[in-house]
Amino acid sequence: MPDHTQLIRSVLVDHGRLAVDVATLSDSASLYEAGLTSHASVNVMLALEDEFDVEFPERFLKRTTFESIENLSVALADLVHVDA
Amino acid sequence: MPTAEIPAGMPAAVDWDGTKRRVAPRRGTDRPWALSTLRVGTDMMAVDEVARSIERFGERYLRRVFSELERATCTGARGPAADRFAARFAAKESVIKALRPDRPIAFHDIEVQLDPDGGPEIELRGNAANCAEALRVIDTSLSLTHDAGRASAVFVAVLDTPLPSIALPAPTLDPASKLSDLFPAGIPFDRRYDTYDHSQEAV
Repeated sequence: MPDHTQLIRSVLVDHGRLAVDVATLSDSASLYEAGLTSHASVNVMLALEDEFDVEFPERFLKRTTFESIENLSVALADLVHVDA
Repeated sequence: MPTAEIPAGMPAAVDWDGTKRRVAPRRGTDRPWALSTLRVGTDMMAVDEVARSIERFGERYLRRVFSELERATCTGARGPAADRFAARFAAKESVIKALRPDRPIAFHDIEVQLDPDGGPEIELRGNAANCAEALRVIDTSLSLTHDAGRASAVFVAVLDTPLPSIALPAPTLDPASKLSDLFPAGIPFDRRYDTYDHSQEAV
């Protein structure tokens, strides 16, 4: 599975509006606990769609998808694979 | 509360201290009067956050979050009105906070509509509607406002609540206590928690 985490971290820096430095978060850390809001998660999703040239389907638009960098990476791996 | 204040035909729940309490009027149920439970949700949104999203992602952002009706309502001659979209985003969040759903709810499952008088109201679909049904939501109310760069929403849901089964506290077995110490005087014990209409009875 390709490692998307660096690009995800970059998107979180630009659009996540987190209360903490993204570099200090582990891949499994809760982004919501780090300050990710529902509205910011929409921006993160749209920015990830731009970066990876994918579209998050309805089934991925749930809280758990945006819970951590790890979860986003798994979702993107699925989407990139499908779109490839 | 004097018994005379309770209209004839309206059942009264008799509370622990012997007072008769009003129960809420209902719509859309076969019980015109019953106990209600309220769920309230509120949310606040920074208008400039929404404005930035519109600027950065444009129509793609608006389409993912807001329904066609909401986009039409909030877009005027000068383009999308970020304050109005922010109020609607706050409304969607306030509904989620009130319903506390156990399943994912899409933004489009919650739509802000305007009634003929221009007041906002909520239309629920999909999982949001299923969740409301499971909670026995029988009425809702929504209020929106935006000022000084902030938009906020307050959403209230009225739940059709079955009359509760009352668990009486276990009486203490202090041999010195009397029955009158355990239960307040003024009303027969077997009427303290009933819902029969006693309003016509002499007090």
